[in-house]
Amino acid sequence: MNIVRIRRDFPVLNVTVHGRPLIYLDNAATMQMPAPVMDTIVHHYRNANSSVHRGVHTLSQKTTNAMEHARAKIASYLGAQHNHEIIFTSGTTDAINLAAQSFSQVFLHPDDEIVVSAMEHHSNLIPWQEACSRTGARLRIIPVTEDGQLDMVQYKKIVTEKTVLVAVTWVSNVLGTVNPIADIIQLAHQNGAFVLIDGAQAVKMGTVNVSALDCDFFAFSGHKLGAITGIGVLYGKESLLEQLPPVSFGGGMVNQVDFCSSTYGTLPLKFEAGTPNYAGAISLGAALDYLQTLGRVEIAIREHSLLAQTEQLISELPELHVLGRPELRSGCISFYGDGVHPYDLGALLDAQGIATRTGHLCAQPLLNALGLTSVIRISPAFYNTDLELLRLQEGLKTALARLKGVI
Amino acid sequence: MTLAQRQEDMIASINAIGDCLEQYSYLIMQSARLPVMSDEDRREAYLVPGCQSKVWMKISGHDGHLHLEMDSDTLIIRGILALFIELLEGCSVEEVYQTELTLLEQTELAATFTSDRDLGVRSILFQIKQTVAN
Repeated sequence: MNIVRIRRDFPVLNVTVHGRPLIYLDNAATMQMPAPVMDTIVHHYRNANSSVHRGVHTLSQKTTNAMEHARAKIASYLGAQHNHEIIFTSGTTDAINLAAQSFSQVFLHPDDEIVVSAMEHHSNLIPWQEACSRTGARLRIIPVTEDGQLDMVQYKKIVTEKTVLVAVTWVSNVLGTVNPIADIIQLAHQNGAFVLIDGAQAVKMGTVNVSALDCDFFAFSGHKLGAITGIGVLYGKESLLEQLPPVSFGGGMVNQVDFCSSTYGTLPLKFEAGTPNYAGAISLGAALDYLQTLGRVEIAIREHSLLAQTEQLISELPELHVLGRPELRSGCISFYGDGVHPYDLGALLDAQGIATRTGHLCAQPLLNALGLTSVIRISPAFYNTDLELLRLQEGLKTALARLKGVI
Repeated sequence: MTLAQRQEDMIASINAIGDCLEQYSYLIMQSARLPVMSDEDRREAYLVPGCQSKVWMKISGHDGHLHLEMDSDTLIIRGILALFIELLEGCSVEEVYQTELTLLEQTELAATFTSDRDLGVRSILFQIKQTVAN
C-alpha cells in the first residue's frame, strides 16, 4: 500500500490540533471520509437531489437509482443473496433496535432465552434487555475469560433449545477480540436459534460474507467505513425478514391505505418508513467502492500490522497494561495505567495532537467484569503511518512523565 | 484586590504558560495543592453530574463568605478545582454573586472544559453561582 498517496485522499489528516499535526487513532469510533466519498455526496446534491421512489421526474429517478445501486453494492460487499435483504438504518444501534423490536413480536415468548456476550457494546445489550422485559423472555450472558475471549465452554452450556436468538459482536469494540463467529453461529443453529452479528467493528476486517457465515442478521454503521454519519445497515435473511413485521410506520412502506387498515410493502421498503437517508446510502456505496479499490484484504493486512505494532509499543511501557490477550485481535486495543486516570492520559495525548478514545467505551458490563471503570483505546486505520505509532509511544511517555510527578 | 482583578491576573498567567500541553502540565502541578476529600464526602450527594471524570463539591458559607471543598478522580480536573478554590475560597457571597466568572472562557482551556467532554466542570461554576444567588 502506498500510504503517502492514500493519505492525500483524506484531507482531515492534514489539520493541526493544538498546533501539532493530527495523529488520528480513533478509527474504531469513526473512520475519516476519503475525498472520493465527499465528491460523491457533492455530486449528488449538485446533480440529482430529490426524494426517492414514486417520483416520475428525472431527479427523483436519478436519486432512486443511485440509492438502489448503493443497496446492490452493499449486498455484494456483504455477500447477501438478494439486494432486498439490505435495510437502510441510521446506524448499528438503529439496526439492532429494529431487529429487536420486530423479531421479539414474532419469536419471543415468556421463558424463551436470548443469548448475548459479556463484551457487547450497549447497543447490542439494551435492545435485548428491553425485548426481554416486554415479552417475559430471559437474557443469558456468555462470560469473558481472563484473557479477554468468549468462554466457549460456557457458551455451549448456555445455548439450549430454549435459545431463540444469539446476538453477539464479531469483534469487541474494547478488546479488539475477534470472536469465533462461525462456531457461534453453528452451535446456535444446531439448537434452532437465530443469530444476529453486531458487525460494527468487524465489517472492515477483510472479507465478510453473510451467506457463507449463514448468519440471520448482520448490523453495521457507515461512518466506520468512511461514509457520512447517520447511515447504517441491517442485513436480514430474506426468509426471516419476510416473517417480521415493520416497527416504524408511515410513508414509503405501504401498498394500500384507508382509514381502517393498511397493507405494507415488500422488502426492503416495509422496514424503511419515511424518506430514507438516500444521501447517506449513496455515500456508503461510494465508501465501499473506495475500500474495494484499495483492496479489502490489503486493508485488513495493513491494519493488522499497525495494531500489532501498537500492542508492542504500548507493552514497552511498564506502567501501561493492555486489556486481554486474545488469539486474534482486530481494529482496536485498550489499556490502562497504574494510578493514571484515562481522562488525564487522553487529554495529555490530545494536547500533543493525538486523538484516542477514553471512557467506558459503551461497554460498562465488560469494564466492570475487568474491575475497571474507564480505559483508553487506540484504533489505527490503514492510513496511519508507522511513524505516527512511534509518536504515540513518545506521546504516552511524555504524558506519563507529566503525571508521574504528582501521582 | 477584588475577585474580578484576581481572576484577570489568573487568566493572564494561565494564558502566558504556553501551549495546551504546558497548560495541562500546569494544572497537574496545581492538583497537588488540592486536599483530598474524605471517602465520606466522596459520595453521590456531592457528585457533580459530568461525563468522564468524577467531581465532588461541597459548598458552604460562614458569615457570608464562601467555603469550598472539591475533589476529582482526574488530575487535570483537580488542577482546575485548585484554581477555583484559589480564586473563590473565602470571598464574600455578595462579591461572587456580582462577579462574572470567566476563567474558563478566557483561557486556552476553554476548548477542553466547555465542550461536553466535561460538562461537570462547567456545571461547577454554575452551581457555585446558583448557591450564592440563593
